[in-house]
Amino acid sequence: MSGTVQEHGKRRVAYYYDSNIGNYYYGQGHVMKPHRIRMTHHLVLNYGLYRNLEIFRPFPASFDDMTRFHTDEYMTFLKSANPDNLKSFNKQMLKFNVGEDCPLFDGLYEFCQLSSGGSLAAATKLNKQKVDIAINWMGGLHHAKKSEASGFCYTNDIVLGILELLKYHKRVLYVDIDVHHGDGVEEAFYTTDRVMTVSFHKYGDFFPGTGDLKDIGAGKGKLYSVNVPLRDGITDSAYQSIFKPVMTKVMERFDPCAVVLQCGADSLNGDRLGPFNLTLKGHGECARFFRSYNVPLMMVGGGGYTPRNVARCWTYETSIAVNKEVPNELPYNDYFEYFGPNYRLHIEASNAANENNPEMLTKLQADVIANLEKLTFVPSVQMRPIPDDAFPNQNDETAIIDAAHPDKRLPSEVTDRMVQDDGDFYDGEREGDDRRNENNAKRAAEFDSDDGATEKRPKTE
Amino acid sequence: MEASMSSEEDAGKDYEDGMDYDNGENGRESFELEDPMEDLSLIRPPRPKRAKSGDSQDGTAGESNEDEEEEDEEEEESTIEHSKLNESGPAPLSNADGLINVGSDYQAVIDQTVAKKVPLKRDAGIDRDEPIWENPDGIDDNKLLQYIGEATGRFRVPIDRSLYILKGLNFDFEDAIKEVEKRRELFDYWSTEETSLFSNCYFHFGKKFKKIQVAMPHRSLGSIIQFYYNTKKRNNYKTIVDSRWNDADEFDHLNDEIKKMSKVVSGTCENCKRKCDVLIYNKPMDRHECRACVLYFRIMRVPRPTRTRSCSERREKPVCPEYMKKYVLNYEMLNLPADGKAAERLHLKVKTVDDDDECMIIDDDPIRRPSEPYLVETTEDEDPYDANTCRMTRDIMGETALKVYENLKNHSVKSIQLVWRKKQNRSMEECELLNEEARNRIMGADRMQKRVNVGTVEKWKKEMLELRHRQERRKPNDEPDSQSAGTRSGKIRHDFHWSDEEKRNVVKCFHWYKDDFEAIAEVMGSKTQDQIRIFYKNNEDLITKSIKKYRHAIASSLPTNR
Repeated sequence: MSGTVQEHGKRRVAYYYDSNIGNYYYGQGHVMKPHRIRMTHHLVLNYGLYRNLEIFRPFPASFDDMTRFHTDEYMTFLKSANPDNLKSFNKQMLKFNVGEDCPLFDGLYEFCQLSSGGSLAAATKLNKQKVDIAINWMGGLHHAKKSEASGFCYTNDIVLGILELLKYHKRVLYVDIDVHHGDGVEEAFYTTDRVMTVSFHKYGDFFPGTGDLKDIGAGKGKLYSVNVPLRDGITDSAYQSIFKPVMTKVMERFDPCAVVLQCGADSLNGDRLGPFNLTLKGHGECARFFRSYNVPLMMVGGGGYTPRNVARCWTYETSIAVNKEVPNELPYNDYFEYFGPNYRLHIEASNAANENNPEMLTKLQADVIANLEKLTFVPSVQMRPIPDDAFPNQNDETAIIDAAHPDKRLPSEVTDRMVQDDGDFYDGEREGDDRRNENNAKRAAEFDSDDGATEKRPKTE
Repeated sequence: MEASMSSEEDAGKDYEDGMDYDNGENGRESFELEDPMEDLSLIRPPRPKRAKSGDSQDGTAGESNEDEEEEDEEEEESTIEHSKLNESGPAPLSNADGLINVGSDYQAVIDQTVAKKVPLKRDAGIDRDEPIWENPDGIDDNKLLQYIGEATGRFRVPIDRSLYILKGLNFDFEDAIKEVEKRRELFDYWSTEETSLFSNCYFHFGKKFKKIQVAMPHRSLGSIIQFYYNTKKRNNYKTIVDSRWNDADEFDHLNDEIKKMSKVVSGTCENCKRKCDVLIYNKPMDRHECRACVLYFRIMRVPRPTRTRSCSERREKPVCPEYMKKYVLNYEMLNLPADGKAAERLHLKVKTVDDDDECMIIDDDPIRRPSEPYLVETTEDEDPYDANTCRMTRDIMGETALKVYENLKNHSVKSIQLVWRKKQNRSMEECELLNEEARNRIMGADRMQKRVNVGTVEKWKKEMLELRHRQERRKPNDEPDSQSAGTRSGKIRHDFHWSDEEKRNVVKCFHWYKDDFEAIAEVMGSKTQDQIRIFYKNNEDLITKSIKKYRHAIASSLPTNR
């Protein structure tokens, strides 16, 4: 499976978003602004990328969902504490590291539910093989620990998502291009060989202080944690010069069944916290790299503290996922003013000094690859047959197609799934016309009601 | 654990050989928690306790070359954060050492088995999402873009909602745009009062939206935050705010002031008329108000407009008030197509009229029949009357009918359609039935009148008159009374004894009628003239005295009272 390069293949892409996410506010002066996700969403839609996306609103993650990784005690605390009663939680706030970097803000628990729910839904969708790529810009909170908040992260949606992926995938690769080390995810999977974590980050006198080249995992998971520590001012070309060889080696050696890519946008130039000098092109190249492999890919957000650049970056990466070029001129949208003064998609690199000299990078690359070379075999997992479903599965498309009566039309849920390749001239089920559009008599009876839709007549029943 | 440690040291050596990292020496072995502390502190440069916010300073300093005009505010924010942090003293060091810990307290629990890869069986398990939009194959891309353009441009409906509507309506563009049109008014509208209140609050409290919400409790926190972000760049809030934020929080100040004001426990706010737990006495306005109203007054220096509240109400679904429901139901019912059951609804008995001979249609009247050119053969289509599907009724005042009448005056129409029909609904049906019923009753009454002979009526009248005369004649003496009983002789005899009440009454009668015994007997009813006369004779002195007294009393009271 690995290395199957299909550069121009069509991928089904699911995109996860909840419109409430932008209304959570960490507090005055806090650099983390969930609003950036809403800005991204507006850009994505106004660029017309919805024509190649399936858009979903995830269900919020339940308490039980989140305690699959986090401890009950910690989640109970997050659920019950709020800014009005924080005095009674003083002790626990210290214990769980909530209050400073990670303030207790209004709706914190719901915020966690949304971001985790998005990644869980994305993982489920990939598990079901309904899509090839699932995007959740609400997630990517990679610092959160099992029972501790850290670095603006409270619940680790990535870990939850990977745990979900592990139900059906033997090996999952986690790649982190945030400027900060993905310590939460690395720690969660430090001792397992089923998840390889690879993080490219600034190292040295920088939050969270972990991510040394020497940290390679422990126990069974030894060699399955890969850290690539970098220094200030790294440019697109320098970044790719080490990213591509390392990742190619990882794909070859580890042969993942699914990939989770954390696209933290604080590695871009001009970020308030990150000192790197990447542009969208260099950042997006990482996403393009994984898209070229034929593995289920989950893309999550993460850091990024200059909202307009975060929105630019994630919009660009969404366009990469669906393989559509987007013009450099930004389309008008609700937050157009934020993108002044040039109102362009791409950003320029600055002339800041690159402290990563080529020799250093070569040596670093050699060290990382040397560690990877030690992985001589692809880890195997005990296989367990899944009991058959109680009812024959009706959604099983191929079986339906096989058994279909040649003169009868296939059910629409099957035909909807049929993806015609871009370069395919074969006339499929929908040859000639779109029958569904003619079918006016069958209409959906009701609409979403919680968005306040009025009805024609007052309700009387 | 042991094995991994040794190998890690190897890796470390490899690494240190060629590289010269600042922190390469730190020797942060992940598992050597028992490392002597002094060693660590000697070798390792003091790690910034609050690394992330510490970086923010560097970050802003380093990247100030880009978009400077925007960065000012942000820089300000980060410095504020710093001052705040410094004030709050040493931060908790929960994670400052930056270790990757190993142990069951840190790692995720992984089920070590994996589901056998049977791709076809993967639909098991619940969906964790709600589909908002999918792009079906074969959809007209231009139409889609046009639809989105119209929905967002003309009706200001967000793209994702437009897509959701389109999907819900089975990708029917025309239906979807109609649906979109209906949703136009659902916008989260901020009135000018609210906008200025927000600006004022922002000026006083900064970006503490929770506190701003206290001043505008009718808004949700999310709505306020969204408003802030939507207007941030246009209104340039930065200019309203001076640098006071970090030192004194105006809100707490105001809050303390309000806390000191005199309070009453629970009641209705005299400004916004809402019930709340605590009422505060607003001195300048001389009335008790709720917290929000007082806070508003303190900030804006004018009473809180009561109609700001309606904004939140407007966003709710319109609900038919309880007392109107039966009318609405009734209206709906009456508007339904007629079903021929009006009689049941009105509890009327319908007389099934036989094809009677009373009504005769004169069809071949040579005078009434229009001359040839005016005659029009109406077909079924022009005058649809289908008793099975829906009942029709005549429509004399309908549009087409009126037009024809109008044209008739101008002689521009040669043919006259004589009957127009329109769909009958239940109310028409009922009206028709009621009219019919009324007609029937009038006719019934008429018939009845005609049936009775005038002679008999005259005879009845005569009899009635006689009876009345007889009654009148008898009245004075023969009036039956409860206290009297008829005797064998047919005369009515009254009880001889005078009850107390009778005595009282008779005295009053003497006052009014003096010695007119006949009148008194009539008034009293229970005593005969003679009995009264005897009573008078027996008590003449007392009675005359009483009469005098009474007269005197009246004479003296009249002028003074009036």
